[in-house]
Amino acid sequence: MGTNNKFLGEFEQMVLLAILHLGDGAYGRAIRRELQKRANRTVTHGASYVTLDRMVNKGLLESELREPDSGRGGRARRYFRVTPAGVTALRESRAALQSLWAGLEEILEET
Amino acid sequence: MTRWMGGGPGPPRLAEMLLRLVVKDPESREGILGDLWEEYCEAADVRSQRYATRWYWWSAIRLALRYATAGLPSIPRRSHRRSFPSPHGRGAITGLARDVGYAARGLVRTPGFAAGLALILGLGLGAGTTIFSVFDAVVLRPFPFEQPDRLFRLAQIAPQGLDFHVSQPDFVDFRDRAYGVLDLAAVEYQRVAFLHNERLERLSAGLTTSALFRVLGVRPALGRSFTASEGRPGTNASAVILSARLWRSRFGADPDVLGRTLRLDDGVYVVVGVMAEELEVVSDADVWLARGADPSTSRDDHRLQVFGRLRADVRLPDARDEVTRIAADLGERYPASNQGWGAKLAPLTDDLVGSQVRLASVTLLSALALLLLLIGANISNLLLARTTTRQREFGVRFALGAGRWSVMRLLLAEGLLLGLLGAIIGVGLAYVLLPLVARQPELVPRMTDVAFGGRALTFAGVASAGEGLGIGLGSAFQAARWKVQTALSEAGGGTARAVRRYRDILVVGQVALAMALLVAAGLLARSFQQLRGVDPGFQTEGLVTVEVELSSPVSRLELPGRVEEILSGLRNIPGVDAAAGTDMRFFDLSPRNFTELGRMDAALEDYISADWRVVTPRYFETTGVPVRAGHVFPNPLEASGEPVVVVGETLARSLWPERDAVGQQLRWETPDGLVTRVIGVVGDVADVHPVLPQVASAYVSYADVPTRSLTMLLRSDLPPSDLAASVRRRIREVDAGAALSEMRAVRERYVDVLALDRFVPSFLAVVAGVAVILAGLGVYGLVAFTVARRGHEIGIRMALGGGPGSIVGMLFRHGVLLVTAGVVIGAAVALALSRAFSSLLFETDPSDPVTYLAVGVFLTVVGSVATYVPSKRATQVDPMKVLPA
Repeated sequence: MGTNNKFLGEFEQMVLLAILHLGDGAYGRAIRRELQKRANRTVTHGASYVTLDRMVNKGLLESELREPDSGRGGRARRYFRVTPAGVTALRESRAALQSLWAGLEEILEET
Repeated sequence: MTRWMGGGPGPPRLAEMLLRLVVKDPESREGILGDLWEEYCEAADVRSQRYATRWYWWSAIRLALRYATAGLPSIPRRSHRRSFPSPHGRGAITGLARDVGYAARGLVRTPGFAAGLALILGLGLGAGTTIFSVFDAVVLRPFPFEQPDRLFRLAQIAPQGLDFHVSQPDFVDFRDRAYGVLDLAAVEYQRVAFLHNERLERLSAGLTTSALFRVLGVRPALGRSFTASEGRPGTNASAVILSARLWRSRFGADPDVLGRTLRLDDGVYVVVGVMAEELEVVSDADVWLARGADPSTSRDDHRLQVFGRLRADVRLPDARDEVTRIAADLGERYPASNQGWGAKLAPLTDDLVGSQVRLASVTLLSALALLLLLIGANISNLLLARTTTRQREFGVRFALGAGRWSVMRLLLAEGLLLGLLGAIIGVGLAYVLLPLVARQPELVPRMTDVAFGGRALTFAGVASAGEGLGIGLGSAFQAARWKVQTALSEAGGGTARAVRRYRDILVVGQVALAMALLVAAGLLARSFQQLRGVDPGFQTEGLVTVEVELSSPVSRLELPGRVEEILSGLRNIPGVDAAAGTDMRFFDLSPRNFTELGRMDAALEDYISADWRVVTPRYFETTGVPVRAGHVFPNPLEASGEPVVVVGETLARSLWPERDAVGQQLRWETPDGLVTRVIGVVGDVADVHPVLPQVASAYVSYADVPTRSLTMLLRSDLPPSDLAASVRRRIREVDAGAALSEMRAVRERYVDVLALDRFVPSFLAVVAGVAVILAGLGVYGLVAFTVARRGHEIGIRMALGGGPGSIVGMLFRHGVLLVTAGVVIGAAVALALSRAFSSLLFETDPSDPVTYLAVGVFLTVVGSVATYVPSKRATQVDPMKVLPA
């Protein structure tokens, strides 16, 4: 599945942005923490992992397993990276939102 | 604890396996398991191992559910139309799976609530499955015979209407003349002494022919049945067939038992076969001996038990006509013995189960049905409470285009899922309960057959599916009535009137059902109290019996002396206060001696049916039967010159209403029968069953009618086990060849006889107890819910100056009104139902006001408490919180 013309959902955008913020250290648990820290949102395991899987399937993310750390029962960490398609999708979403926001910022920000 | 459930180093393996099962992608799985491990370790460090394990389970289950329903977008977020596909066409199956997934997630979101519901349902289903299994084993399950509905017992009916066994010549007539419609076979039971390992025991011997096994359709498990010539009158067959029970208990189930010899009484018999176990359903015989009916014996001697099987294509009414015709014909031909005698065919199944047991089972089963109904109503009520709070959620779903059907399906799935959880708990409970019930002393015939099996599972499955469907449909239909607008406008916190009314009706129904069950249990318990309160007319406490079969005497005349010698030996045992003998067995429904008694001048139709017993001197002293007038048999034993008799009060009053019975003369059987003189009058006794009406009874002296079979009675405060050895020794000292039974306390027999009467009310009491708890919960839930939902309204009322008292009063009045309505309706239902089981009640009025009043008051109190506690909470509503600023 490649990029499609659909806009990203809010949660998907947040996940993509969180991964970009984390850079090299974006694995499941870190992503959830980042979302919690920056967006002040508690995300359930289920929601985050299912969303990550779906975005990998859509081609917005790619993942790789790295050498197991200690304290993980001999299991590797799965690190995520945003693909070019993911970046494009983020840009498109942002652009679409910005054109919609245009002219409304001041009014809305007052309240 | 192992790492399987959690507790070792690292997260619980079982939970990990669960995740492995649902997360299919290996890369994703690796990442998730690793992440959770990290978090688990952190939680274990910061909090505790226990906490971490709980946390892990909780996360794993939620994750698993999420993955199990993954790829299915959540409803309101997007694609809501597709998430509720049309019930028609391909989408239906995946739609159903999805609904179950949503329902499961919904239940997990409120685990306490879901667990509570499943537990209530599980308790009900567990109790239900247990009761059903008992009923199934006792009443429903077919007898182990071929076509049991075509098996009957033939009895002769005396002119007075009593059922009798069949005399030998009469049996031969019935057998030969009804040949075209019935295949008849007879058996007579006798006690025989069996010499085994140099000890004598008393066995029950069935004297019969191969016809009996043919009629019942039972084949030997080992060896052969009797041959046609064995048992022919006049021949002396030496063949014996063992019962499966005796074969196992005395011969260790030895397959080489065939051909061995047995000493029974004075004869030597050869074992030719072992009968199949099925036969023990209809017979207690330990051994079977060949003996056919002898037509040359007396027609007055009714001692054959007759079984019959309808021939192929013969209808029961035709067979009944035939039997009646033969009886009438015999009456004409042998007027002296058979005039006025009829005959009847009774279904063997009725005979064995008994109408009382059947009725008791039906009562229990109805109670069970009521209980399951109550549980269904309760859960439906609780679910509805939640559904009402979820009205807004559903409103949104409707607004987003979800069809009404799809919302209903979701609720239905919830109900079915709860049913499944309840079934799991219920089956587990029944699995534990059933062996306990089966271990009860022989409550009713075939109680030992009670076991957990496929039928119990089927019942649990069907019942839980029914419950789940009922619960689901209940809330689904309620939901279907909501209008989208209503649902959305309900956001403020009011409650739709229709829902409120439905909930009120549910609560009234619950209280009514609890009332009906409690009244039934109460009535039966009262009846049992009455039964226990029956004075049997003698002192059962401290009375011990042992049955004795004396060895053959040279002459019967030597028996009384031998018995007196035995009795004085028994009286010398330390701790024994008194001893006597009789030919009867206490609280045993085996056949007794019946006769007709009349005054000297009376015509035959004025004779009275009475039972008579043979007793030794000191019988009345030993049993504690009071002497009302005259005196009883003298001690020591001696044959009185003139035949004398002691009579019970009822007999004395019936024969000589105005005169003193002592000194009167009494005729036996017919106007030219034996004459005896009454020497004393004693109190009436109920020594067969406390419910049986007290019959006229007569006592004759053992000195006049010596028999080899006797029940020895001892009055002692010592338990039977302490007495057994010395009693055995004392008896053997006098009669080395005597066969003895186990020693038993009469009180124990008495308790056994009342087993069914005790069993039914206690079972019902448990069911009723559960019903009361459920009704209480129902009322509590309703009021608590109302308080929660109407917080807004209560806040306004309080803000407007309504004191907390008036609010509590309002809620309380409403709750108590519902409870009262339930109690009244329940009383009416109970009154109607109690007529149906009134024959189970002993000297208890089915409309007994005390029971109704007590139960009504009790339920009202329970209901009021259940109302008061949550209404009190209403006063804690803070108007500032519920009203917008």
